[in-house]
Amino acid sequence: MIPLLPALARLAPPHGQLPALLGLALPMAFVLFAEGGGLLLRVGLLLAVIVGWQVLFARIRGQHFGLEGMTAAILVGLLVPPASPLYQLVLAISFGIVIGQLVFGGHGRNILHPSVVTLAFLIFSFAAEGYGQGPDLPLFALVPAFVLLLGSGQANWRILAGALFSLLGLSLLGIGDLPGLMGSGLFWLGLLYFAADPVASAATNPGRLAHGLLFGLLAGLFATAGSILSAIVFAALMAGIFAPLLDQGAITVNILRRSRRHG
Amino acid sequence: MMTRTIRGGIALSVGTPCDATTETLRLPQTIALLGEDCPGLRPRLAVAEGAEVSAGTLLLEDRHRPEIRLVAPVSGRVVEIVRGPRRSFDRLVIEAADGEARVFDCSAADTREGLVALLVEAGLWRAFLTRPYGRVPGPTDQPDALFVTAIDTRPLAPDPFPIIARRAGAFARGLAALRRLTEGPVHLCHAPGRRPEAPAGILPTAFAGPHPAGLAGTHIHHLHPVGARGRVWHIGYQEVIGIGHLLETGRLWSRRIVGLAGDGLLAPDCLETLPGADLNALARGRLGPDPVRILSGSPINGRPARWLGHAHTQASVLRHRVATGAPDTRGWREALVHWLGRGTGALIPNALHERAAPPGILPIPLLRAISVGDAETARRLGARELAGEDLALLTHIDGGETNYPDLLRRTLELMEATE
Amino acid sequence: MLPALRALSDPLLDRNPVTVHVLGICSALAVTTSVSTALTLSIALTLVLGIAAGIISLIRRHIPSSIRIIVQITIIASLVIVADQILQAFAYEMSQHLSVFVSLIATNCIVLGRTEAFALHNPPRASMLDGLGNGAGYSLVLLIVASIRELFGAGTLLGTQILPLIAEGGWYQPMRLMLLAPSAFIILGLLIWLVRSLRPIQREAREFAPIASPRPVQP
Repeated sequence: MIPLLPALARLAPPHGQLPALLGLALPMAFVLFAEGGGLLLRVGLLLAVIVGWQVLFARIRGQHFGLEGMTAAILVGLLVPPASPLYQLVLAISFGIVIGQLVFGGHGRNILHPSVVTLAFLIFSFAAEGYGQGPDLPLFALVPAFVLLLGSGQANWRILAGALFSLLGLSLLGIGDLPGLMGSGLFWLGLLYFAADPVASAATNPGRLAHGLLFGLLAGLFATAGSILSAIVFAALMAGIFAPLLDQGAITVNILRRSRRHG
Repeated sequence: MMTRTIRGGIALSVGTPCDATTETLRLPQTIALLGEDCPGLRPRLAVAEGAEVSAGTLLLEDRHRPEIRLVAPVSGRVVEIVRGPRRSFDRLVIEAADGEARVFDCSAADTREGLVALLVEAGLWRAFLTRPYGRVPGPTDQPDALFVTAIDTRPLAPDPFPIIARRAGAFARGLAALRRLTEGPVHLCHAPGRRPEAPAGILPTAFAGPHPAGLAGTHIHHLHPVGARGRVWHIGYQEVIGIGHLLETGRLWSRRIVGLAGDGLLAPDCLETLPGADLNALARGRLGPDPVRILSGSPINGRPARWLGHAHTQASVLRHRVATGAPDTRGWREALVHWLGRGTGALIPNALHERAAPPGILPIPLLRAISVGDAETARRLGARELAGEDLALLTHIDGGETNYPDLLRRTLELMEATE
Repeated sequence: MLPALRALSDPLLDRNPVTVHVLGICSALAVTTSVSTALTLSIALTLVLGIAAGIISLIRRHIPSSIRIIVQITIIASLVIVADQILQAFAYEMSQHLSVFVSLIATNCIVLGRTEAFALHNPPRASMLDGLGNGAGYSLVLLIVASIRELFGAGTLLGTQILPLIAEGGWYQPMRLMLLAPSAFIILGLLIWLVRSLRPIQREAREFAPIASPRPVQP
């Protein structure tokens, strides 16, 4: 999607973490206002651990890394409860960044979003801490993220459209609370950053539609049984695991169409 | 006459191209024939340094494929012959001078064999490129179709329509000759509303849309796809003018029309110059105050060069990003920003990839396959119908770090070896 | 090194049935929530494998090839039933913990795999040593995984409380993930990573390698 304004083009280049980070500024400000300075301490600690692991892997493998650690740190820092014990966060983020991203070769080569893996680890391991409850984000806090991520081409509209279509279908069947989800800033955060992540989602256009449909279906179903954040995390985890399969389907269709066209 | 609208594509804005309605004559002192334009050439030299040549004299030919002949495009004296690694050929520099051009015998050009022999003799045969694999065809090969590219959507490219209009006779004559080369259709691909004069039997098709609507690969995909089998040839409009000129006068057309543009120039220019012209001489006196890079070709598929490439119809003069050239002169702030934004070098999918992709191709799986040399997957994804220039836009989108045309070339070599 | 010692030591690291051949994962996941259950199953499998390998090796020349699988499974299953009965008789609570997994030793790929690959073609003494060695390798992996899972999942090791739980006045919040199957997969994965770092020869060759492009230079 070509940005409409030159100013938007500078803030939302197609590559790099700038659109994602700028989009998180408003949610961060909101949570900072609601909770206080603890957020910064959390994000700082998470960032330090992430950078430590990234530097270690970068030295061993002779590779570079970018600002994706910062995005992961902010996302996890925003979405965990304020009273989380720090050692649990350190353990979880280490797991998430190492198993979720670095062992595959760093950003761009992973199958799952490291923040999703981190949150899933926390929700599974420490049930008593309330990791499934996210902060209450208003809808307007996600508008810059929406504009920047879609404008830069990083979040593909097909994933969003597929998810909304699934949710609409579910609500027509009487399952789930579509207005509640659509009005929740937390849901849009999950949709834009977890489901529509350029690396963890499908890599072909038909695959992206299917990925969005799957994510919407799972999120709608899970949301009836738990909180919004846990629904998003597990829906993103499962949809991300299936994304390569959906891509393979799109590739097979492409190959068949080509062979039929050319004979 | 059909108009095909290309979906997707990206309209790059890198400056204003030259105005092709007026041409300025600017002849440099030296020209060169480059080995980069003939990959895989096994040269057998026919002249030595210091020899006097006239336009049309054989300079060197391929030892294994005699139809690939490099002839002198202008008369003059061979100043320098530079060999490359492993007995290849790097460049042959000629100092241009006035002289009699060699006259070719065009009497037998009515038959296919005669025409082919004439084109081979005059060194114009290597203007044809096959698709797939982008090689020079053999003289006895028969293509299923022939494509003439009379549209150029590359950034800063000159508009072919006025250039052809000024040489309409030669162009039409060249097109008529091309009809003898194939049993199949001859497609003339042009921009909407800018159709050159064409004789009967040529099929014109307009292609509308942003780049890559002007690339031969796009035209071939839409009009005569070569997927699992089939073979077509394509040729550029200036080479067709050259063929027509040869048939009319019996001498080589010793000119190229080059669009010189870019933000490093004071003003863009459309120049009538020599093939293989010295780009430094062409740009001299027209440069702005900043340090520049000169590319032969467009900003996205060009290569840094001193001389104009064989099939190139434009040269780009771009402002250099780093002020004094060395990375050490960057300030610490710029170094920090560069260090933070480097990333892992992996391919991050983006909506722009889907728009910049060649038609009918899934870009991300294809790029992943060619990055590791997975020839089998690349073939199934349609790499066989692509050439390097089709992926140049994707390289541009990814910041120019990864050279996808080069990776495609290596994968095509692997595919060709197993075919 | 004596061949006998080699048969016992190879399956520990270089040819471990779980980390190299990735066999027997099912029971490796299921019983490793505590060290005592893992230890019991390891001993049971090792003895069953050793004795079964010995018996099958003794009669190897008399088994017709077309029914050899059935014969092997019959022998293994009989030994498993004996092991199950002994366990029920002398350690009833433990056998309740292990429930069906002792019976499932009969279907464990390690057991049938070793008898099919080795015991059918080798003399009894070597076969028994091979069986015992593979059982030892399996036991080693199970004990490592179980130690980690029990320690971090419940704070205990073999029943003794090592990390005091918050519920009992201590500071340690047990990780519930450790009691679930995914943690066993993850620990196994990390273990295989560690083993392959120590023994690079176990790594498979790459099918493709990324091609590096040369940087363009201004001539």
